[in-house]
Amino acid sequence: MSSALAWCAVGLNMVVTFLAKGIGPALVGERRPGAAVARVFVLLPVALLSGLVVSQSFADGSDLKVGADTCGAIAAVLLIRCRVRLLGVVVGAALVTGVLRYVGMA
Amino acid sequence: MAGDGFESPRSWRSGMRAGAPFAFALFALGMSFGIVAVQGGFPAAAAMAMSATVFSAPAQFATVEILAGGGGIMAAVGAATLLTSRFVPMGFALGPSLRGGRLRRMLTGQASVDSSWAMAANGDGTFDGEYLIGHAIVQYAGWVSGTIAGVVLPAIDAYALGLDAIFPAFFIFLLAQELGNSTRVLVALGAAVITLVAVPWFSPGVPILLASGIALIGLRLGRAA
Repeated sequence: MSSALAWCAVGLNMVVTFLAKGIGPALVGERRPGAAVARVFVLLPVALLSGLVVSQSFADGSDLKVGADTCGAIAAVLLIRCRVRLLGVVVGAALVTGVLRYVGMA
Repeated sequence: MAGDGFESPRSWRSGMRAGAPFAFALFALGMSFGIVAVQGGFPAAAAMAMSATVFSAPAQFATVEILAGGGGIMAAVGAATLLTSRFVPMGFALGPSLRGGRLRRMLTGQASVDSSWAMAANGDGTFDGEYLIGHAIVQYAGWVSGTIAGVVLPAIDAYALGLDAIFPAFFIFLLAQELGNSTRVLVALGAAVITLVAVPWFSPGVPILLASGIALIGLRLGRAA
């Protein structure tokens, strides 16, 4: 690819990301949301985290597949159930994923 | 929500401490981004500038992969836009908790990355702006320095080491702390199902945006969520 194309992509991405992250804070001001909207904001992290976990563990582009990373995520769930602390959970998940890839799992 | 062992008073300092483990992961992933970008034909300076100004791993990987695969600029930026679209509703949730004028709030909003935003949530619909910034700053340092390292000395393979599994593991850990009542469990299950159903039909990024829409059932609940 030409370097002009690469720089163009950098510039456009910068603008898009800046607007996506900045438009909400710029528009809502310090107006306090009503009780109903506040409940939506309380639930939003739960919904977002759940969607991220599923897409990162089961999606490969637009394909659903069970792979080494899926097993890593399952290992994380099991470690949390066993009350392992955050660092142990994360290292365990990476270890399971890396070992499975090493033995040939996609 | 309280982080793992990082209780109040919450400030930019506790945000930095909670963000430190993410920073190591982002350093490794930034390194693999630098390697992939340069191998895909990106000038080294453009790869580093992209990490410094965009600061979004999924959007950057998608852009580089599409351009390196011969795709057009609109396809690349379009995919990146969809991947960052979830920050629009996240920004609207964050907005009322930020201080200052319009420009300052917009700049503070740039500290939103998935983990900093989720961990800055106080659990009552408000957010801790200082904690958000502290959390994001250490991650930013990891991401940018990792990219530079990847461009200068391509050595480690983050994928082979399973380092990409760090992020879902982190998010599962955060999610487990959020599942305090049956409403939240239902929202999490609903979001998971929506994501699974949507993945084959929509571009990457859109399923997560659709899944976050399930939080709208909060409008119909009679009591605190």
